[in-house]
Amino acid sequence: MNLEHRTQDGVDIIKLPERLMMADAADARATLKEIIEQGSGKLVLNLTATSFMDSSGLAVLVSGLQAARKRDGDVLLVGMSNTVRALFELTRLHTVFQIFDDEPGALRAFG
Amino acid sequence: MNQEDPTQREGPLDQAGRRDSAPIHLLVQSDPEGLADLQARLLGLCTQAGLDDMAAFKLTCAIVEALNNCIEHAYEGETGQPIDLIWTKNPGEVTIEIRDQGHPMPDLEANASPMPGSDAESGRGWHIIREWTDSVSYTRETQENVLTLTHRLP
Repeated sequence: MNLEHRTQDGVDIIKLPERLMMADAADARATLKEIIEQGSGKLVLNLTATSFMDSSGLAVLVSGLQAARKRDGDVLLVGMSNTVRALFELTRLHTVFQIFDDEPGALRAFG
Repeated sequence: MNQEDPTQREGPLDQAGRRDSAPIHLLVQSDPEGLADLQARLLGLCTQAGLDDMAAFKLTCAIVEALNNCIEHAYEGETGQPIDLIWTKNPGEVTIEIRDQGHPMPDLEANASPMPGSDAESGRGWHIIREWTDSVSYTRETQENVLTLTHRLP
């Protein structure tokens, strides 16, 4: 899976696809793992384009969060739609991830 | 890939004069790529049934989770196996029947466990199905699993 990826101020910023479902999960997990291992462990995931996600997609993000925190990093989420936010709230993952409106806000949080 | 049964047609008028559609059969294979294609079709059916964006997302998500379970558990990841999804819009509710020929499911009560911990990578699918539909029932008919979801319409 080709995820749009750039680095700014030591933070890896990744744009997630329109859909994150079972079909994409293995590739997305591997890509995130590689970026985390090669980078600082500080990630911003931009969900602006993501209109649909299922529990397989959530599992990918949780896996990334665990890998990042093992490196004393974190995964911050930005640009989440109201519908995807409802999925995070139902599964209580909105209490696990820090969620920001936009990338500058997340980058400021990383300091 | 999935395909729609070409025999679908308009259904009769109900007592309130609303016309319901005849059941729509979507023939799906146990292929994650196919589910990605189907997701947009399901979202469209939800919207046509009168659900707003949020409700359509929630019901679509619940159906996708049920189909994920067919692939992961009933067919244990084997691709190319048949899944029959029957969408029926009745007065006031939509019914989604999902049939597969895979391994029997555990009793529904066995899937009624609470939401997994925040660090768990899996186990959220059933919670999504239960929370974002109005009813869930399961029967085993001969060699088929039959999972039936209902959702009230506005």
